[in-house]
Amino acid sequence: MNGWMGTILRIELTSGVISKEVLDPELARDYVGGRGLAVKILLDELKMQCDPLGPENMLIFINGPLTVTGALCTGRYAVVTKSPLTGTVCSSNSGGYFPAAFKTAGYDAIIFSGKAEKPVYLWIDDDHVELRDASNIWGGDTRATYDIIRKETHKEARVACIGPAGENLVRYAAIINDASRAAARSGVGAVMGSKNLKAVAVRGTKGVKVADPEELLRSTIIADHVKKADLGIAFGEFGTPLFVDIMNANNIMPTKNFQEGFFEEGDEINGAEIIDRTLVRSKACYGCALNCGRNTRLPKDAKYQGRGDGPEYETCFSLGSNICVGDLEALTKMNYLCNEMGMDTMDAGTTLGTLMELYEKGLVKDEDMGFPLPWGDADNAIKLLTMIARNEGFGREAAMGGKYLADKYGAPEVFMGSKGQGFAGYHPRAMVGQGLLYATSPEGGNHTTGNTIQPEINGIPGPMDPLTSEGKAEMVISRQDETAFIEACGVCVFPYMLMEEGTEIIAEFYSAVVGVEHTEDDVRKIGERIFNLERLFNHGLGFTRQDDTLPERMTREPHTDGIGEGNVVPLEEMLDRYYKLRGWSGEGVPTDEKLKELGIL
Amino acid sequence: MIRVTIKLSGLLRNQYKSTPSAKGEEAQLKTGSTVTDLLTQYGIGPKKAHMIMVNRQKAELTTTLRDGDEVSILPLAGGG
Repeated sequence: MNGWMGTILRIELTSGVISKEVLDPELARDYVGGRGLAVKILLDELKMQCDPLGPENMLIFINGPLTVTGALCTGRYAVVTKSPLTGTVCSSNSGGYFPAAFKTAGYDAIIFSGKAEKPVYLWIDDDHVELRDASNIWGGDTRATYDIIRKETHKEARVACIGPAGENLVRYAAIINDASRAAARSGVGAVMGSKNLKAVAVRGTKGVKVADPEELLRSTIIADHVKKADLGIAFGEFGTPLFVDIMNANNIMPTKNFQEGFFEEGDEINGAEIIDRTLVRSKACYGCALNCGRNTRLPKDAKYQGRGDGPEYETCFSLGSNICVGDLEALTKMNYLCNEMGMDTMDAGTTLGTLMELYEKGLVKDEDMGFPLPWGDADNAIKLLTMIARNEGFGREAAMGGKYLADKYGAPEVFMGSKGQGFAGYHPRAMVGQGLLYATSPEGGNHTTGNTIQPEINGIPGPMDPLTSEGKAEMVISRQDETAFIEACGVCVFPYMLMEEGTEIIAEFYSAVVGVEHTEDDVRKIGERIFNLERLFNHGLGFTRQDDTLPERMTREPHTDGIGEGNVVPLEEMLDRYYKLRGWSGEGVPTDEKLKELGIL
Repeated sequence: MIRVTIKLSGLLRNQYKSTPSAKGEEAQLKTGSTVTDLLTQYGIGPKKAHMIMVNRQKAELTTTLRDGDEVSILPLAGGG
């Protein structure tokens, strides 16, 4: 097959049986790869009501047909499963070099089911696949695990693993690959931990066939302008923390658990500060033209010490402005800790934000935690992050996430998220389309099932008022569908979402790789099919309109000083229109007519 | 004369590193000057200023500046 490797690897962990099967070309055509193909597999095979942390849940590692081709930024893979944080289907994706190794070993997907009797890791050396004992590395952090497994297997092996947080079933545990990249969100690391699966190590040496290499090269040259455009260059220069300035200026940098949209100390934690104080070098994932990764080191005379990768913009928000930490070194230390322990920096930050507000209200006390936790207390935040990952003391409670804490301590309104997952770093009160996107995302408060920065903040392709509902339902649908397709291809969304003609370019890439002509409309339709399939999965678990919600802070509390002051998110009005345009019922359920149109029924 | 603070973000900061720092720098202008006048003083072409903020509110190249204003010049945004 052109684009796909044509083989799915199945690992039944309870029995230890390893098998290979041929990828069904029709499924590949209809659902592409990544979250699209994986959700289809889950919908067909998973016992929907299963405990996400029980042996019946399935954990799918999956790339896409454009992974490791000449298209732009092709080093991505996704982890798809039923989330222990949200109870919905989830897709968490990551870059680095592991995704390329996994594909070039010859596989489109690895499907894990069951639970190993004792800790194991999977070693794949092209066609050779075996489960190995991981007792000696269980309990180790992600850096140590990476180093040991490479020594035990091959110096060129690429490793994706969990740290103590995943082993201890922290509900927002991540899977860390290449020692610093993260399939971070929705608790995919906890699912891996629940299966006693410590790591997947891969060495791949095969090539990927493409239908029309010359056409692919031509498309790549056209797309190369993104690298040379100001925003492309700025990505490499400053990384995503560049956006601290822009989010702050637009009053959308969530601060103090989303009470505000402007962080006074934003200038202390932005891309320029990282360059001046901590940056060692910028870093790229496989096949990337942008180099947005940050390899950093804390200065020798700093209070906190360490070296690693990060922070990204999302971490500058979650463990910075959101908890009022304006100390770049403390924030970076927290980022390192999350990477080493295998934990999502975003839900770690929104959980801390929830907790600090509960503490401010006197609902959680010093005696509950063993220490105070006022806004901006980086030392105790660092202490608590370690306790969470290590399953110690109050860390056991905080490991359940912000929603759990807010419910337990009697103030559900202080959890800033949707469907149990914390929001990303874009305050919806001053960009209300993002609010609609959070509310309707299949996995709650995330920014990777679409992002409305380009239309609402940059005004591309045309001016759009970020404060009103006008045009938002249409825009969000289009962003969600386009993103679903891009992600299913196994590439990074950044260049495609940044280029005005990104959808056209990915359609060209896809056509050249698989050898079947696809227009922009064709790929949007595939994206729509994937998005509807995810909706159908969640509906099967009972999720409807009543779960497409935002906290009252977004819909009733007026926005603070700056752009959008006094604004709230007109969610219900946007939802009505959104469902109608989606062809869903007023309760947000895909109609049979829509499902037939998309070829799902 | 008026005094304003100018902050440059993103690549502007690199391209004009010898002038204002990311944290801001004070500039002197004639009374009645606009954002364009300020940019001209620093040699920044108007097309480079994708987003202009004065005192945390959106502004235009033609906005007249007042003593004590804080002007931020920002590039396009992404996400992540």
